[in-house]
Amino acid sequence: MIARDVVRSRPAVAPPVVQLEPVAVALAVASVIELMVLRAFTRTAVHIPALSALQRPYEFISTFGRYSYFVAVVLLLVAFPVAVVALWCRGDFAARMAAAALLLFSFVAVAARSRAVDILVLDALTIGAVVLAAAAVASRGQWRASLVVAAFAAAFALQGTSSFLQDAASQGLASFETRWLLWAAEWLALLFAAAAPLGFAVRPSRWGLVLSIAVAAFTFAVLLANGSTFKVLLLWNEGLAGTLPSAGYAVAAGSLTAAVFGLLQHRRALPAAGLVLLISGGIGLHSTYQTGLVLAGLAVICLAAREPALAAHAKVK
Amino acid sequence: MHVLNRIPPRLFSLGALAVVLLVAGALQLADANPAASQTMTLTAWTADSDPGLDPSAAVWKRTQFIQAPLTAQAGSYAAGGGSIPVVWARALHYNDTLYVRLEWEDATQDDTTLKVEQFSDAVALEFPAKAVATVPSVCMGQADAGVNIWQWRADSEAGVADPSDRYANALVDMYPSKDDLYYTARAVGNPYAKPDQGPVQNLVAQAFGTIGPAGIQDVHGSGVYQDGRWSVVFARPFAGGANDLATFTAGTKTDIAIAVWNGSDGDRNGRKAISQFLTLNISGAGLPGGGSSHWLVLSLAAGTLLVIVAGGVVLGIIGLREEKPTA
Repeated sequence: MIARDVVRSRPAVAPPVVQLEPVAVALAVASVIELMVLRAFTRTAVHIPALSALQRPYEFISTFGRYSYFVAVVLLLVAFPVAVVALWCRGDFAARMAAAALLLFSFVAVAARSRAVDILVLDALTIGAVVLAAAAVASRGQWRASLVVAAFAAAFALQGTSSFLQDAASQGLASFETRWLLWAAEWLALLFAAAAPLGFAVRPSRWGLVLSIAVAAFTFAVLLANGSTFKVLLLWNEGLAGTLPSAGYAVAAGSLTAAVFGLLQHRRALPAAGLVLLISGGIGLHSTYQTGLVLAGLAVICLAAREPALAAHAKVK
Repeated sequence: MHVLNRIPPRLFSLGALAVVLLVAGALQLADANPAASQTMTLTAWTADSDPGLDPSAAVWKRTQFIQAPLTAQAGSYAAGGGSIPVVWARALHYNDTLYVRLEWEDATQDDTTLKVEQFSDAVALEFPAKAVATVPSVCMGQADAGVNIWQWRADSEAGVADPSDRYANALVDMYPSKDDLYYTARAVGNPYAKPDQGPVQNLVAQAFGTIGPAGIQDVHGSGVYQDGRWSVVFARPFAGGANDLATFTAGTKTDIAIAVWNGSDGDRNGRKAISQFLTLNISGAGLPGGGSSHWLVLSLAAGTLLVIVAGGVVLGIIGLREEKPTA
């Protein structure tokens, strides 16, 4: 709906958003497939008894998962310039700050691949890019969305700062105690997830409510039955150690489902894609791919946020 | 652009999708990954003196640690584990031998396993095997990418205990023989049944359930429990000696994962706390003395981080104060 409103009221800036939407949605879908198949299934399938008997199907699924990763990477490479142009065309300061954050991270990704810049500088610039993009979202969105995105960005920044300090130790500079950073990041990440429906102003339908309760119950059951595998996946994929009570993660999973499902039901594909990209990316420094997903998600949410000009127009009416 | 505008949107979308899928396929075939890892790095510096197996050796005090977060892992029942949340890791190399020192908090010193309900404290390192072309699964590797695991056990460090210490009234009439045949674990080559091999087992695995002793047992180690903390040192020459063992070279990087068992919490086998794969950087450089150039980099990076984060926060606050449209 946001994209459609913008198309009606500001045709000059509409095309980039419209072009970004299919790319963002495709990227979100590809990243979810990659998360489910490559980062989740193939990493846990090694626990299947007598896997050697299923070697061919396993290899096929593993190859498909790796392919979905490369598809997501290519879509990410397409989404970044499209998002930068779309944000820049918006013209306001916050959107251009978000565009600058994407450009900053593009430099980081290239420098990290070529190992041309010190890792501490890369860590700092990565965290800075995410905070800048989140601040841009906070500037353009409503206060509830701002707080939710701020919680995500703070969790990312705390996790990232922990890695930054550990990298400083790895370079022989100084050693730091960072457990409290990880603990705080864990709480903030759960807060982000639990408050997502509120932040994105989603009122779940009956089916949405049923689905989110089912996902929460399933998550809780998995945590009770074999929580360790779930927590390993959580650490690998999302940067969360799973040290808080299981009910917290169940509520978080249910809330995120309610938010994404609710956004899709209201045909708000852009913020839904943005939220999915944040989930696929996780918090902390894993790889430039995952951080790229986070930044793409923030850029998409920034573009989907309501514009002050639009609101002023509505008030005059 | 004019030409592009004349293409029907559906055809354009399908064409763009086909290009994306083709490029992705080409990248996969070429194994050209545009992304880079940003995981935690453990650097093994070149030591100026032999660290030996003593965890309290002076050279370790000049080496910075990294804190690796751990999480619960249970590949088999009983599920659980994960009571050790973090491990402090340091690494050095000297005369083409890799030394890794691990330290973690544990309120109980579990170094005896005389009773069936007793389990030992332990710690392990996991590396990709020499011959692998891809990063293996952290859970014991996979069929096409094996792993080499070094496990130190507190009960092996303590040595073989005398059962009469625990069961003072137990009587044994006689043992018919001291041949391996009557010590079945020793007979089948279980390294735990050979305490003279030291407290570290060199193991290999190529998938869950396939772990077994390596053909070469050349990993040494020693652990000390003091003030509620275990400190353990592993040491092994760079050269692996076999394709299923890890091999190291100064100036290269490999992957390393850490696992810790808390015996009093019931940890054993798959029930443990594990890290994800970290990067092990075998640096060709000597131990840094905290030179001014290093601190300049750290200051620059920290300053950049603070300025950008502070700028972002200020921007966000300004944005929040602006008038926002109603829902």
